[in-house]
Amino acid sequence: MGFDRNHLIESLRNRIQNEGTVAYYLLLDNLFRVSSGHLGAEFQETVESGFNRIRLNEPTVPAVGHCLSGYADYQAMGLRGLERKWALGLQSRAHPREIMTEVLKALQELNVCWKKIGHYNMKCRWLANIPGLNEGMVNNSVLNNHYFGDESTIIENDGITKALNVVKFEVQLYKTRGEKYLLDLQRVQGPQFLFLDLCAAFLVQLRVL
Amino acid sequence: MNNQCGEDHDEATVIGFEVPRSPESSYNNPYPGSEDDARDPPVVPPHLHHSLLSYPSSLNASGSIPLPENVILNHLYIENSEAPRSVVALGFTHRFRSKHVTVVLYKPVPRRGSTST
Repeated sequence: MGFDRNHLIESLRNRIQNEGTVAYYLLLDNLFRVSSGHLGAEFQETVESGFNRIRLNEPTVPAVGHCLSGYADYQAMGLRGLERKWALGLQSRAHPREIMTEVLKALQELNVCWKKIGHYNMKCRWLANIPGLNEGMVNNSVLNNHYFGDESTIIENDGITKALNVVKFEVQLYKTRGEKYLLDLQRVQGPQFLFLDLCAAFLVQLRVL
Repeated sequence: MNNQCGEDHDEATVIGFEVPRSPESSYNNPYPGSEDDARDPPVVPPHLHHSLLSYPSSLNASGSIPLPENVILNHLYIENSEAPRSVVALGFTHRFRSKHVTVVLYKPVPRRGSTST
């Protein structure tokens, strides 16, 4: 980073605050991200609102940003470290049945089909119809597999072979701490980016974005 | 016929023993009924929170990250971000043969105007 190593070590030893030592502590703090335990729970606290009852995890503590001067305690910095956390699924405080109904309605609007496979557990299926790739693909199974892997569903229809992308995933509602529920989505089958793109569309449909 | 090229290896397959796909009609879109209210949803397994995505980035460029726990594979994680956000980041880790690949998609958030889609 352009700091003189010896000078930096000297400054750290003497607890001098300068750009080098501040940068050092920022980087060090980045290593010790809080990801679990009661501190993690604080960071994962969701903000309740009258409109969206299904929320994404939003940090309640503001990020430190690029403030390089005026910090006193490195420990305090540790608690307010960079907030690049990743959270599993979606959380909500609504009643489980309400959550499932909203979720399934959103999926239906996206042409996703599902079946119940367990308690608050659905297996979902989505056909991604890629325009322009269905025509002219007769008997081109090698090309189909190159683009779509082994997940393409070949449907015979009047002798014309159509290749469609199938994304299958599971939806499971869990109970998490503090009367909150967590909706977990897990890909079962299908191209990775199609699954992620579908999830993004799902979040928009649910109006959590 | 199973074409080995580009196989996803999501499920281990042995020729002749592949699980047949369930019929499309089995996806009948049932909505939860009153009998589903009887019990609470199961408690979230704590291991599911251990995504590789939350692993702290290393100072040195050659830093390696640990193997992901099998339980987190293919589960969707969403990056925390202050509302209102303009970009959403979605990611998950999956296995390809003997390697693990973490995929992240950054997508702009559509702005809500007066017209709704």
